[in-house]
Amino acid sequence: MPPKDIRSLWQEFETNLSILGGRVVSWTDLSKIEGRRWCVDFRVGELPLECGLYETTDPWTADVGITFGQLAVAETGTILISHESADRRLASLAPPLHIAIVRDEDIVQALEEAIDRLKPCNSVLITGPSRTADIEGELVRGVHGPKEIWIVVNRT
Amino acid sequence: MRLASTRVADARKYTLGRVFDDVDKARHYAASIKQYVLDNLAPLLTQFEDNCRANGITVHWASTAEEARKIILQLCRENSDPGATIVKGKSMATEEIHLNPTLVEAGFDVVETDLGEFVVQIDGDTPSHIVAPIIHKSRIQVAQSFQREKLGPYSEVPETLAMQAREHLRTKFQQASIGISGVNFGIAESGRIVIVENEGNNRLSTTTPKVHIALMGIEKILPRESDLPLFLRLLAGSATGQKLTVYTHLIHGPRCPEEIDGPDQIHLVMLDNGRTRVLNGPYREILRCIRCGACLNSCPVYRHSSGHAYGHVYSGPVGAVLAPAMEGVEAMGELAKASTLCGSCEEVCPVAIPIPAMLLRLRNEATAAGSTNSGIPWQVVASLAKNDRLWRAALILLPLATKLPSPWSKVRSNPERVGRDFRRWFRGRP
Repeated sequence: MPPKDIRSLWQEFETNLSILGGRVVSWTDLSKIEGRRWCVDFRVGELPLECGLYETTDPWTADVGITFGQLAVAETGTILISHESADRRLASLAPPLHIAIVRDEDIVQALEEAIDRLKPCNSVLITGPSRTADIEGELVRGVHGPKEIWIVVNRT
Repeated sequence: MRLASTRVADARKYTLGRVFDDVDKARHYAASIKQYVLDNLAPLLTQFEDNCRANGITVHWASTAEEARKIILQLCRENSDPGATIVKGKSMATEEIHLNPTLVEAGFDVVETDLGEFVVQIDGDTPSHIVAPIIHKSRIQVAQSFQREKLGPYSEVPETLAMQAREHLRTKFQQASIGISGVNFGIAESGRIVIVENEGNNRLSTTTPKVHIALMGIEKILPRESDLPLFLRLLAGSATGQKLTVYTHLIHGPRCPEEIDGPDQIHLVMLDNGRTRVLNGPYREILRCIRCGACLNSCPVYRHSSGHAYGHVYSGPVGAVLAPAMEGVEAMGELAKASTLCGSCEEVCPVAIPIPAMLLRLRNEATAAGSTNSGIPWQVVASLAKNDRLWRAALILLPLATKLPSPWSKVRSNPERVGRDFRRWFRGRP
């Protein structure tokens, strides 16, 4: 099977992530989030994020957590986050909305390719928002982890 | 109960059929990897331990449940103050060693953070399924428990209840000094600890406290990181019918000095508790088990009776083998009879464990050990069953038998007679 091109990979990724309740958004969508507190993964502080958000260092009271993703996996709508130094793990975990920024070229089709690129540091594969069906099998999102997850594709 | 199991069983078939071109091929390949692990366990464990240590993880070894409890209690005492909060992610291994009572007695505030396990804890109950702990409870029961514990205004809506639990547990995550979890896979070649979950509570439990204690059965090894994708897909598909679990933690070691979040220490407790004995015996294949629960969901006996009836932390088909294999046929041999030998469990098992063959063997062992009911009443039944006329006469007397004052008849009622005599009908067919 010929390797898929980047656009169809992102298409596949978006389809699979939407089924789980996640979204792929654009930079302009971010600028529409007004008046919310956000907590970042420190490297993201380098990006020119101009939106109605103001920064906090406390992930527990933040409304939004913003992090980088190492790569996206089209097959399952998964993102891989590697916690290299000076990361805030809680930024992708405590706030109810998690936004992950992934570079356009950092997408693979299969899980195997993602595992191949694992770095020797703590990492996590995130596939959609937090969920449970413990009570009578009824699906509830955002039990402990984020209720919503947005992916921003960073095309420079 | 039956409905819930059936729903998950259907979801499993649907998802695995879409994820894999050939599900059976995938299962048998996974089986061969797990069998390789069992056949080479000692060198793989050594490799795993060396790599964990190199990554900064402290490794402890516990031969028995008691040793494991001692080690964990000691670690908790050394790293926190009396009365400190300990948050727990869902772990069947910690249930197996009955960890919680030990920690509670020592004065710790032990909090189960998985929603199902949290409900089990506040009810003083035990889980009835290895993946879905409160599959036996209704929303009304959960609502009443939450109201009793004053977690919020009364509601029977699962989403509302889940949010009440979330609020309550968020405080605990922030307060906790210690986080305890299980381990789904330990990767020998890299010393990585892999934990899968959907809620995020395991991630919180192993990120916010300063000390993370992970309890791992020694059989939970995978040789290489490249083995992970197959097992992640099989586990998620078989357990809940998902393509993948929401979170897959690939833990490498404690946090680096520059990191703000993450534990300063990770302690890995390797648990034997009879596994080596099983490994050296005729039921060794049961150690391939990745605790997906698919066999429970497909078993007609489990669906009818639910997990508590098995009287052991591991229930369903896997429990019917594991319990007697680990604790002895004398104690738990009865469970081998809790089966129709339909073979459904083996068909759905992601690592192709030959459960029915093992159950048959266990039955023979149990009968030889005298731990099953093969006494006079059953011998009477056996001789009746061999004689057509006697049997039919006995059937007429059955309604009387269930009226006798005995433990047997107390829990049984007469089946309803529907339709006519089968044999007469069969003979009269055109």
